[in-house]
Order: sequence, then structure tokens, then C-alpha cells
Amino acid sequence: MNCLMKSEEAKKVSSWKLFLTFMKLGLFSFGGGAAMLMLIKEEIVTKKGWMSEEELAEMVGLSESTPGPIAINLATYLGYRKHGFLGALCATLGVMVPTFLIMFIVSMFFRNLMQYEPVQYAFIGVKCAVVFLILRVAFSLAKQVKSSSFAVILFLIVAILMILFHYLNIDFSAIYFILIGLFLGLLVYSLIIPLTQKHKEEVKK
Amino acid sequence: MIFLRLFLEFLKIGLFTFGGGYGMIPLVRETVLKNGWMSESEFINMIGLSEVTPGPIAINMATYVGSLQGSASSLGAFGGFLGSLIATIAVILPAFIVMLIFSIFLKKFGEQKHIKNALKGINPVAIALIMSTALILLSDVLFPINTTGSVSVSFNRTSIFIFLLIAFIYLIITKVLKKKAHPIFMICLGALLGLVVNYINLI
Repeated sequence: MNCLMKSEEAKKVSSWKLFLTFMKLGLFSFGGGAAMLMLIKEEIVTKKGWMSEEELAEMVGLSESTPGPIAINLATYLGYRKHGFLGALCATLGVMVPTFLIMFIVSMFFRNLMQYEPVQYAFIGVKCAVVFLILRVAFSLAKQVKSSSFAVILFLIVAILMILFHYLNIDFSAIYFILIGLFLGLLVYSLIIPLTQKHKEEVKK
Repeated sequence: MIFLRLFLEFLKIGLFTFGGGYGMIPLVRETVLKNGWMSESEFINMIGLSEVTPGPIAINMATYVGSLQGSASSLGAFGGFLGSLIATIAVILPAFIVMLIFSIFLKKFGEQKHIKNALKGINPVAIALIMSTALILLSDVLFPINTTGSVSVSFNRTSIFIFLLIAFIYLIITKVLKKKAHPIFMICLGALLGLVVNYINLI
């Protein structure tokens, strides 16, 4: 009983503190989600003890099934648990505000910078690095696809169609592909596979 | 009206992005090209900037596009601020609302059978979108296709050279030295190589 009360007590964190903590996470994470995850683990799990490592792993899995950036998902979830709606709002704003302000300032200056020759030259190289980084992420993600033949076929068809549509100038939004994937996932795993299994069982009987 | 447009487009992007920042790249690319907000070259530069600035790439991109489009409106610099704020809020709103609903009502949302099944279809598609976008960007940067007049493929020798150098250095760092290559390091390396190769006229 005492233990339970203690854990209830430990749950409360002020909105201001949530805002500051997530602001720090937003400010010190460069280069996207994976880098941020390391930082979150250190700050939220190790230092603050706001959630256990298992909970964080569960949370990351959950973030993959909800839309949007993982940082925002986590901020909203943890903020809500620690201080209700206000906590969720403050934690989410914490991630957003510094990122937003810095990028806004960069956007104001960058356009003027691009008229200088050295900057243009540097960005020829930056473009190559960006393409390399995206390719690297794409290939490491593609390794996950191997799990089932359904996933592999879907992956290949969508990738080939996307590239074909690009070169043939066919206007077909990526959103439709996502919706088709959602539909096919439900069709195959919620309908066809359970039905065929039922059928097999009946045959056995 | 540009501000409403920004809001709706980025709301859509926020809603249909699964699995983190890189999942957003295909949708943002499609949106800025379709609306004529950016050229492909400007888009790739923006990703480079997003990599070296802090925070989630999704927010970086929304802020940047919003600022660019807003400041082109009649409101000037204030329009830029307003545009970037609107786009940024729009891109995180779906994540915020979905996550809030989940926190309030269902604890084990991710373990719902049908949601898991739908994701088995969404995940390969989302990864295929990133892969095809990566390949399209690669071919556009290294082998730009000239569509004005007769269609012809050209070889961007400088970019091919820099790209191969980056790949080579990356392999040495990760395979030989067994160290990690941070995205910021890779972007800075690209900038340095861009300067060196162009000024020394290496190629």
C-alpha cells in the first residue's frame, strides 16, 4: 500500500518541468529520431526515472503504429501520464518551440546565403551527403521487410510503381499507396488468413 | 489562401506519416513539388539544413516550407512567421490528437489485433516509399534528366565524384575504424568536399 502511494506520488510532475525537459530533448537531438531516442533513454529513464526501459520500448513500438514524429508521440503520451491534458500540451510544445524558432531563423537567412558562390559550391556536396543519408536509412529499413512474402511483394510493387510514375509523370499521391497498404494488411491478415485457417480445420475434421 | 493551404497540406502529411521523420520525406517532396513551392534542388538543400539543426526533421521541414511560403505572401516577414507556425502546428496536430486519445481511452492501442494487421500492410509501403524516393533523388542528383526539348540524360560528374568519395569515407569509418558516422558529420563532410572539389577543379 505504501509502495503504491509512493508510486502515485512520483507520477506527478509539473507542466513547467515537462516543458523544460522536452525542450532540452528537442534542442539536443540532431539528425532525427534514432539520435533522439538515445537521449530520451538517458534523460527520462536513467536520470528522471519517469518510465522504465520496458515501457519506453513498448512506447517506441506504439509510436510506429501512430502517425507523426516519434518525439511528439512520446511527449504527448508521457506529458499526459504525468500531468493530464496540460502536461501533454506543455511537453509537446516543449519539443516544438525551440526546433521551430531555430529553423525559422535559419530559413530567414538561408535564402540570402545561397547567392554566394562558396555556399552554392558547399551545397553541391551537401546534396550528395543528403542523398547518401536517405539511401542508408532506406536500405536499413528495407531489411525489416524480409519478415513475410506478403511484405516483400508489397514492398517491391510499391517501390517499382513509385519510380515508374515518377518517370512517366503520372500524378498518384503516396497517400493512396499508404491507404492501399492499410487495406491490404487488413484484407490479408484479418480476413483471408483467418478464413483459410478455419477452412483447413474444417477439412481436418 | 496560402495559410489555409499550408495548414491542410501539412495536416495531411502529419496524418499519413508512419515510422518517424524519414517517412515524411516522400510526402513532403510530393507536396512542395505539386504546389510549386520548391524545386527538387531546394528540397534536398532543406533536408540538409534539417539534418544539422536540432529537433525532429518533420518540424524542421514544416517550419522551413511555411516560412518560405508565408513570407512570399502580402504580409512579408510576419507572413513568414505565421506560415511557419501554422505549418508546424498542422504537422504535429494529428500525432498529438491520436496520442492523446490513446492515452485517455486505450492503453494497449498498439496491441489491437486489427491495428497490428493494418500496420503489416502500411509498413512495407512506407519503407517502399522511402526507398523509391531515395533512388529518385539519387538519379536526379547524379544523372539529371533534361526534359526541355529532347529528353536526354546527363552525367553530373562533380556530384558523382563527391558521392563516391562520401560513400568511400563512410565505409572506412564504419567498417575499418568501426565507428559511427553521425548525420551532422556526413553533411559537413559533404559541404567540405563540395568546396574543395569545386575550387581546386579536381574534376
